[in-house]
Amino acid sequence: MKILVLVKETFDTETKIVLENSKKINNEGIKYIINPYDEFAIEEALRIREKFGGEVVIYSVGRRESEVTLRNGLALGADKAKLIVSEKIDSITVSKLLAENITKEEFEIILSGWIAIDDNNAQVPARLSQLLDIPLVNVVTKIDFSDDKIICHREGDNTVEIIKVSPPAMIAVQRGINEPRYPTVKNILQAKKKQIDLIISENNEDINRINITYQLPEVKKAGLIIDGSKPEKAVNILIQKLKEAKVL
Amino acid sequence: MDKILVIVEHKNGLLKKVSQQILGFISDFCRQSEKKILVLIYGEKIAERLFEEVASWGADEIITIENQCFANYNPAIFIPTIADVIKKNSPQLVFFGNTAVGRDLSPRLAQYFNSYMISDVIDIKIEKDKFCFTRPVYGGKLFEEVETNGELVFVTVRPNSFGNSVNYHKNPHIYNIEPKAITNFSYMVSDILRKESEEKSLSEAEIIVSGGKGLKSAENFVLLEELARVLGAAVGASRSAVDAGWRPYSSQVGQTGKTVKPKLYIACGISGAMQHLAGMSTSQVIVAINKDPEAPIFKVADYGIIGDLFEIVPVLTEELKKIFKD
Ligand SMILES: Cc1cc2nc3c(=O)[nH]c(=O)nc-3n(C[C@H](O)[C@H](O)[C@H](O)COP(=O)(O)OP(=O)(O)OC[C@H]3O[C@@H](n4cnc5c(N)ncnc54)[C@H](O)[C@@H]3O)c2cc1C
Ligand SMILES: Nc1ncnc2c1ncn2[C@@H]1O[C@H](COP(=O)(O)O)[C@@H](O)[C@H]1O
Repeated sequence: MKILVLVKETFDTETKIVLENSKKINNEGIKYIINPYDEFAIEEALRIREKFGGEVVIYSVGRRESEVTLRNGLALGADKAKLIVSEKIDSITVSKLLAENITKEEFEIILSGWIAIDDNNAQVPARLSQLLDIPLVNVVTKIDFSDDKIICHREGDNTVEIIKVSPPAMIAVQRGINEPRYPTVKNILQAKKKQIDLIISENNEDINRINITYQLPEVKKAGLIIDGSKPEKAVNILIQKLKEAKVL
Repeated sequence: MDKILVIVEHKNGLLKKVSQQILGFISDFCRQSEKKILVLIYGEKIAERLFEEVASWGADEIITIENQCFANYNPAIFIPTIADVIKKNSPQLVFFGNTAVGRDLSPRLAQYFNSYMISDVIDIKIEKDKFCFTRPVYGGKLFEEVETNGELVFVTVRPNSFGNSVNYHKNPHIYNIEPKAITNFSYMVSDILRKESEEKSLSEAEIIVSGGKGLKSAENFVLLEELARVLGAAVGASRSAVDAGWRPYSSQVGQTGKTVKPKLYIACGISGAMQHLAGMSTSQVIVAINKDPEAPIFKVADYGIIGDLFEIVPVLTEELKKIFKD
């Protein structure tokens, strides 16, 4: 089975965000990681490969330097990676670039995270599946195989939907699906030798029809700190304040 | 005339709260503008009182798809019919709640129309034909402001983002449409399991009581469940509490869990790691109960009690019981 995994490089979750100006985030000294949801996708791909054999190929769109981050994906056990180098990484551009390159592949499954923790978009899987004209099961917490069907548990609002699709299909995963492994020393060493193909994207024409600016959230003014050594007293102050704030 | 399409969800014959919040907000705005509000309601059966509820938000048109095929969410069935509604009406904006359905359907339709989508919006400013949407990115550490210029845009709105609005009754034009026949059976919904206890949905809850490692065991969460019952709240958890197996993953709040925006968020025994704040920092009022005065949660808390949660929470529950009895 050939499995493609979409991996996005994101800022480490501990990063303090600094703006250069209202249009640009300062990325000096940033530590990068694989988008946490994509780690679940890689893990699931490896488990499917372990069961059925085949190949796991990472696909990513991003900066040239993200090779370093992608190596971490290879160290987990993916076979190879393809990096489409692009400055623009908005959902529309990324989906288009991925579609252009993935149509040239033969594959059974594309796995991805359901959302990227940086842009908070949750758009690429849906857009890509439309472009490739294959079914997408979104926000998936379990994958099973039965005959030629893929059976997914999709997270609804207070429900679990059982969805059946046939390959080639796309599945965007949610936390809870598995516990990602740690890279072994052997795999880390091997990863150094694994292949990362660079694909230089044609400079996409900038059709900026929307205008995006950034703003740091206002720093919250210090809250009221109540000494809790006398619980009754503390609780009464709290309730009084909550009433004044009209939340009770 | 410009149009705004709101695709609403309902449950037990009532609009979902987020749908109602979107309608209220749009209704307030449209009263001063020339724009028309179109509302799309689908389902196997659409309760009569839903029409009244939607009309009370100043809808100009209510389009229904009352059909068995629309009982359960299936994008392969929904997209052709809803895309048709959009083509026929050419709205400027299409609104969804940022719910399981909205999050899935909206980007698919956006791609279908080769349009932009603005996810998880928490604020909107409107000026004539200019719309400015605010949405949190980088786990709420940054706000993105997106300005559009009147072309078709798809928007999902985070529950509890808009305050109360005033009803504005209109007599909408109501009509039903038939679903388009589909030929694409590649996506099959074979079953829907409802979670046993009708646990209150975290993302829509107005009040959330959340517990972390400080709770020390699964059993101790009873304390929070009692407090939640008195407040009509949902119970959330930190990742550490989830990883310890004390709470289901579906109750995790944070960067790799749910993003919530309740009126009141009470964090008990939660240190306030960045990844937790990412999921709840846009809550209206934050209360923290923690015995460590240095805990970072106090930096975002509006009210913080430094103390032992095992002493504070039961007292809080008892005192609130008294209040709600009156
Ligand atoms: C990629 C990534 C993603 C993550 N995603 C999430 C996420 O989505 N959500 C999330 O929550 N975390 C997430 N985390 C984990 C996060 O970094 C923290 O480890 C976690 O939030 C800590 O949980 P906690 O506050 O319950 O535990 P701790 O940090 O251990 O804090 C426990 C707190 O309880 C207090 N306490 C103890 N006993 C008492 C008592 N008797 N009375 C009062 N207070 C008491 C302590 O003072 C302490 O502050 C993520 C981490 C990573 C690396
Ligand atoms: N630049 C990218 N390169 C590869 N995959 C991506 C990229 N952006 C998004 N994805 C995939 O799409 C998922 C959702 O991302 P997003 O739509 O940006 O929230 C991620 O978890 C990735 O699996």
